[in-house]
Amino acid sequence: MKTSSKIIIILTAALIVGAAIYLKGSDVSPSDVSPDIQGKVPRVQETNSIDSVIAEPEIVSVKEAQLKEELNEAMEKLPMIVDLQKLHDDEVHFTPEMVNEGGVLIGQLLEAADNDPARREETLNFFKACAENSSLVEAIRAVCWKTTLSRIPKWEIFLPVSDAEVPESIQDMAAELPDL
Amino acid sequence: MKKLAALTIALTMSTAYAAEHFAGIEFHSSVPKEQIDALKVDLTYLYKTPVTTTYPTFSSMSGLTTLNGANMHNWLLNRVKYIVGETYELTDDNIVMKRFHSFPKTPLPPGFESSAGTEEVTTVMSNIGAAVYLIGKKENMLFGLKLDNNNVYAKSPRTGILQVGRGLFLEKFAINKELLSNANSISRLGTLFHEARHSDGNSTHTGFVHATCPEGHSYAGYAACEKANNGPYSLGAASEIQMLQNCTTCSTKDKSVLSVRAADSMARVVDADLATQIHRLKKAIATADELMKAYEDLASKYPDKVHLIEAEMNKIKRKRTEFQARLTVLEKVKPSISPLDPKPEGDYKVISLKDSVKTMERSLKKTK
Repeated sequence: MKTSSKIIIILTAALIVGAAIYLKGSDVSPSDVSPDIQGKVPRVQETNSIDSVIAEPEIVSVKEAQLKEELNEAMEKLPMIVDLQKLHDDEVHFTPEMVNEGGVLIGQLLEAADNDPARREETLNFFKACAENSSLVEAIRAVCWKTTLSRIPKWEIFLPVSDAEVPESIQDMAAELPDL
Repeated sequence: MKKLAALTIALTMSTAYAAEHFAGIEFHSSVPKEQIDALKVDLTYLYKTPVTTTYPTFSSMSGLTTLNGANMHNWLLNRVKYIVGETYELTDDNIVMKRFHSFPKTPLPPGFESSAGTEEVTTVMSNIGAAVYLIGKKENMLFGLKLDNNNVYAKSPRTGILQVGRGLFLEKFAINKELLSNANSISRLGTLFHEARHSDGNSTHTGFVHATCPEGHSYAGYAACEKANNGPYSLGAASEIQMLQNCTTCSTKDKSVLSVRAADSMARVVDADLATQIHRLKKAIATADELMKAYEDLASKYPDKVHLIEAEMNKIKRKRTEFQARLTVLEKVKPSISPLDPKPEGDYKVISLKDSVKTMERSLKKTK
């Protein structure tokens, strides 16, 4: 077979795979991918070696985009200090419901990343950003900071934290918490 | 005639003993059965769970030098003796009083007043024994509560009457959906430890009454803070961490929620004493050391990032030096503030460890 024919075959294969990925992407609605939180990341079917070499960057970018969107949404769901001021006296005597729910969300994201290494880097950045977010409730920030520090060695990901804008009071609380 | 008398006695007995006892605690007839059952599971979990890891902060705060289930149960039992349900009302029908009681000649907590509200709220738990004691002291009248067949007078904050509400058992406040899971037991027990601390204290800090959170605090304006770092929020958080450390069935998600709750309580302490500041600096140094170790390992794993990792390690090293310098200064300072004395005022009886173990074992035998 001539070199030009080989190139045509590879290009054709690339176009077909590309179209397949495009179709797959367009078929997936946001509600289908949201269960990422449970560690069920939608996976594109394995392909043969030549296809995967060509298709891999596309697959990674689709997954990354979904994950980023999911984490952005999660950040917006976390309880903010301003929300606490709207509560009734008796709702704040013990941990308010919205703070409790924030803990559930953090736990879900953490479990998902523990189970799927592909989610770890973005999730680690999310936890650091959460710890630095001064609008969020301190308890949530403390757990995010604890998680950031505990997952750097566990997931073996280098993430600089020395310049993180996390107040000492939050770092102190985090230091008291057991490893998650 | 004899038959009638016997029948009357039998009927009286059957209503009078509607209350249930478990682990030394008397559950009032107003507590729904499913709530009693859940609390029984919690107390059994506390008593039976082996303690393999000790959280020193809980040990020093509670005064328990040895941490195990029997000691922790005894600590609770000395502060929680009766539990009433949400429907139990502090009305004239349930209140008894005696004149000429001699209260300690100590001042009342600042700004103490009855917190009886009229709006409908979801009660989680409250220590009404301590509140009744303080109201009595304020009015110079010994108040007590009618609890099924007992009149229990509040001669001390240690009277130990707690009110539990459905909030303690609601799914929206739970750690997970299984009401009787260990994680949910830890959460409820943490609340119990919090309320139990309200049974302590003397003079201006009798009952460790909550303080109003200052401006700038997340809970600013709410009476949901404390100025001592051994009050109900601190102790509740410490107990949750102690139990969480020893939970073998808690999932990552459970741990996350329980950690958020513990941190939420810790965040309500608005005044740290010297010992706490020293403790925190030591923890910060330990965290820096752990991070340095993690980065060292990562440097060997990612040779291409060595220069970045080393730069980060230098920054952390500088922070560590700063913490160490602050620690050295603080350690030379004479302590000016100390945690509040938890010794309760008034008349109360201490339950020995031997007696509480006997009571618990008897209860466990009965439930088999």
